[in-house]
Amino acid sequence: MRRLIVVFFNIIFISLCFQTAKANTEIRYFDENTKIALESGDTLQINNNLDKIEIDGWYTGTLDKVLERIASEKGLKFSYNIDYAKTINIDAPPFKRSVDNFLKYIVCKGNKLKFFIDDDDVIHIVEIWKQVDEKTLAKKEKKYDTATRLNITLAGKVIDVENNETLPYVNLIVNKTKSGTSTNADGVFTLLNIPSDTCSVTVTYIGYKPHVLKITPDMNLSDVVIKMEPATELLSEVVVLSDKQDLLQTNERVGLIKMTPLKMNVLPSLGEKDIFRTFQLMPGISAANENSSGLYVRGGTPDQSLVLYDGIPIYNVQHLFGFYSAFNSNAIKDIQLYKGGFDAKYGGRLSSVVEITGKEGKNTGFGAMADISLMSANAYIEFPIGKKITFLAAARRSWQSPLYNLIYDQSTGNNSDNNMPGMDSDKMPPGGFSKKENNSSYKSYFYDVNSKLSYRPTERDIISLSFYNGADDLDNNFNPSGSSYTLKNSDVTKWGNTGSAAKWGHKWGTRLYSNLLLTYSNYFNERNRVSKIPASYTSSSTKTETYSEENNLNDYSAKLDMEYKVDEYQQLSFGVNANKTKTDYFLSENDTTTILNNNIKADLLAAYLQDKLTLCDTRLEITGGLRANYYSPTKKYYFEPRGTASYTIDKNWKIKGSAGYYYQFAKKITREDIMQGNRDFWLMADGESMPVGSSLQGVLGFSYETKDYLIDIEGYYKKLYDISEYSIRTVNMSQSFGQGGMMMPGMDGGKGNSSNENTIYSDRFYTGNGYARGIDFLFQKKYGDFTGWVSYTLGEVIHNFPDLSDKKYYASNDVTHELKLVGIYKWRNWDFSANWLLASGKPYTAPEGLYKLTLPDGSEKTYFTPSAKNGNRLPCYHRFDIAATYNFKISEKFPCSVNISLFNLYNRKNVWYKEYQIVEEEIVETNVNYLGITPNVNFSIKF
Amino acid sequence: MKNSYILLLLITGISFFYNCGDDGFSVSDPDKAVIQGYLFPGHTAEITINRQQILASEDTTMDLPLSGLSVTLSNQTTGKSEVLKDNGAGSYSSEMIIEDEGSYKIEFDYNNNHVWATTSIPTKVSGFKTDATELLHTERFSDDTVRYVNYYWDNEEESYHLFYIYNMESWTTPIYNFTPSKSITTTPTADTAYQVNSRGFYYYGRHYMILYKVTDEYVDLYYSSNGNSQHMTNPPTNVNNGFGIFTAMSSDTLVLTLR
Repeated sequence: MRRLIVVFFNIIFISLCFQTAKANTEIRYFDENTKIALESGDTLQINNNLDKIEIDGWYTGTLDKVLERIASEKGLKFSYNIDYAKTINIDAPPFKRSVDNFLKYIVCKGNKLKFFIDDDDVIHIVEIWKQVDEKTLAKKEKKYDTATRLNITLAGKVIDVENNETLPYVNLIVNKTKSGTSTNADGVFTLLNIPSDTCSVTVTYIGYKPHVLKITPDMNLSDVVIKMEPATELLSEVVVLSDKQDLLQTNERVGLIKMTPLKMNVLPSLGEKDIFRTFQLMPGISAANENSSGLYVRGGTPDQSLVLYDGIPIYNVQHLFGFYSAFNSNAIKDIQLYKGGFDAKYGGRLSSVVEITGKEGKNTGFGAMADISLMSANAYIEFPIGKKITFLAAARRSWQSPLYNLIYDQSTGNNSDNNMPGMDSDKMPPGGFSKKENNSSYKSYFYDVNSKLSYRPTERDIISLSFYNGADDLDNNFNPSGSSYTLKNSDVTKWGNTGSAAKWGHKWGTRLYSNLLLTYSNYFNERNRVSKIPASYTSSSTKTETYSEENNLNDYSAKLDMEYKVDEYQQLSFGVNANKTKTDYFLSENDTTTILNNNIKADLLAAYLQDKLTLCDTRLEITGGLRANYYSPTKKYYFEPRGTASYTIDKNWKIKGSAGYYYQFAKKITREDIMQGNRDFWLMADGESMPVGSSLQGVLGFSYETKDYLIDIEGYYKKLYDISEYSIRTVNMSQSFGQGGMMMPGMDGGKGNSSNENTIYSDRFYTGNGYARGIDFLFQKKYGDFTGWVSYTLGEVIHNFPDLSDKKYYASNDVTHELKLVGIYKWRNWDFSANWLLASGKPYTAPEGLYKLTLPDGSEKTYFTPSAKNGNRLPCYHRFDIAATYNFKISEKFPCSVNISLFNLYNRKNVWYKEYQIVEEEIVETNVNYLGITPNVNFSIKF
Repeated sequence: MKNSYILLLLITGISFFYNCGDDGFSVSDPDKAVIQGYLFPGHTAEITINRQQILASEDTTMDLPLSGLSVTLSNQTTGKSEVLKDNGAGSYSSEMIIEDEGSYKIEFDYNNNHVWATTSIPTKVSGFKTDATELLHTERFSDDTVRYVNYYWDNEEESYHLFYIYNMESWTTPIYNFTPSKSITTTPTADTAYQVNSRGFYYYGRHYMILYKVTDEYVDLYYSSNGNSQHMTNPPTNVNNGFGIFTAMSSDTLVLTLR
């Protein structure tokens, strides 16, 4: 492995050396002296269409002279460092070309410069990696004493200045008023009823520097493009930033957490930066679950979270038994997590919604990034095709390093505290995952691939095609030597998700925006096991046994979402959604015995209408909505009324709340039998053995926010109805041997569904109710060199399943106290971060009694009796992680960062679950623990 | 202003957890009785009652008989009941003979629990017949042929049956070089026929071929397991407020000689 890294570095260095040899200027840093080369006399309307302005002349001399000439000839405005420009020589042959082309290829390329145009149509020419501060964009503000237009509408889009990606959910507020809006998922916004055309608009977005847009009378108000600069500090030392935005933003609306992928890499990681693991550090989301990167939001389980990637519902959100989420953060632009109180636009889940927006790819040239860590490699490329199309592709794959094996072994229960004395290696222990048997070797990997093609035919349209595919593969072949009983030949498990989406967003005028989305998502989980066992005790011939299990979910969906801005105080959202889901679950043995075969086809038609009102001088914002569903397996209508409200008392205090009713039609079942691999499968509710789940939720909270700090407290209560659990009891025929007994051919043992060698004893779905309630406290320091937060959640989750326990019990994901401390410190080119988590132990059921029965034939059976369900608590969970990231440039050109993290620094043995086995008439308890101290190194480079 | 908000905070916090007591949750009491009772028509009832080993206590063994209990066995069909004789060491026996049919109930009090169980005597085994009473063992033949004997019985109601094969000779002649148990039991089956092959025996001589008809609770017990560590469930039992098995079996016998 080391060799690979060395070779990789060598290739980079060698190629860069060739590049730098071409440089012909000395690199100097930008300083504060700017000069606007030339101003035109009056208002000449310039569009961003530099590619339409053509120059045709022989431009030679130093850069400043050339720019002066072009400026006077074409009436353009430039801004650049004069002294620096005097050191650059230009010699452009007299071909006819556009200004855009000239700037790109003659001026910038080869001189390590870049240019961009600000809102006043001034063309800035700066060094390629320069972060430009507000102050240096010295615009000369044209002061107008009287406005020419009143009560205007401003519409347009917000983009990232470096790669022209549109930015979703950006906030815009008209200064000196309370009105504002935000961009939608495509970066498009409309601001109505702005008092005059000399107002300013403050634009803010997490991860980017705030931007003030000054509206001027000569501005084109219907197609404004606002450019925002990222607040990344990967680069040169001379970076003057006016504000630093943090990784986490929570106070916008009730239950909403926004996160920027740009900043995630500073946090300690178990591999790569991982979106869901980062969410687990946020209040309201349980972090004490190492074996799952799914989201346990406010007492809910991961299957109650709707995860949308570019609108595609993703059913399998994790790799490697839950250590990683299935999303490559390099391909992601924005992430929004709704912990509750989500809009009527989203349906089908009870607890939360995660909306992930993928990047579109930059249209300013080729870009690439590569990441390598101790167990996976990650790369992405983006480039434009022509002027209107951009393409992005990202891929990630793991490799089986010691770190990978460590995590794999831990997930399959191979790092328990004690070694079982005298345990037969070929007996399956009764709990959890089966232990790795002697002399076994396995091959395991995961990968995911994302790609997106975006086409913007006009300024008002965007068409995009997205594709996602991710899977885990486990090949568990082994041949135990010396074992006479079982000879497994192959055991392959594969599970994952494929999805694709086609989308068309169109802006109709300035008030109406429509989004048509067609998606397909497929979840698969397959296991095929072929083993050869002896035909009978005394026979030497073998027979082949096959075991095959498949779960498939296919989700086809067509959605139309419309947003209509009625006026500055009211926005309507409405839409329809037609969805067809097919689930299949198939379990068979020996190709002839079908143990389970479950197919459900469900059609779900939904329509929603939501109204967002801003009242009381914009202090009060109320959103009310109704979602109506028709579900074909039950042939019933389901109505989900929802509402949220927030009231701003003064500039610091805000009260917020939400209430709503939610339904869930697709359920994820975790099987309890003993097999390796992923034990989850998805089924659609059929109204009989698996009813449609529902929940009634209420959230109430308030926040106190200053420029630097935020205190946020939210209490929630969720009542859960018709939740399901499933159990399948299997018995191996070998258990029936007893004392001196024998297996006869043609015997029909046990009750069951088939007449051959069945091993099913019983299978059932259990239905019950429950509730979850709690309070989330958050104290966050938002700005400065040191940022971070403290979050504390007090909560409980209670289940009531009459068939499993006669009284109520604590759910398995109940965590009473959870405290998280996260700190990030920035010093020069370093980012240091640390987090400490403390959580109460989870509940579990332990055996409390033991007895033996003698059957009339003389054989004996020993049983243990369990305590009250989940009546005991595991010891507390706590761990401390740290990480350090160093940002630098290779050869002054390519930004890189190296991240070193240590997970579980003081190596605490946190108990995952306890395993019980009866050995020689005694119960032996074994603790299966989570990971101990785990280091990881991650290197990333951007081209 | 600040103070009133702090107060609001406190009130919010407290009101949510005003009722966070431990009421409504199950409380476990592991001190329970374990019944082992098998009723055979034509015989008296022999019941064993123990208590289960409590892991959190100082119990070190599972052998914990309960004596001194007042155990009542009643025939629910005829209404006849009696208090069983306490033979000590957890063993209780009846004087009444178990009838060929009917249902029985056993009950007693232990540790403030009223422990009881019922079972029905399975209907008589009918139509039990075979096509041979002698079987020659494979060893006697040079051709290694396996010989079979078939047994048949009526099973219209699809109950479960099992075979109990018992060598009745006083001096046993083993077939092979080892001497395992003299009895063999098969797993319960819902079939109506059974084939015994000559390879399955360990001794020569006369064997009782006893066909038992068993109850559903017995089959549950036979096939059961305790679930697994992460989804523990109660062991199968038909005893209320206790554990164990209280069941009955009816039988019929044929003889097979293996030579």
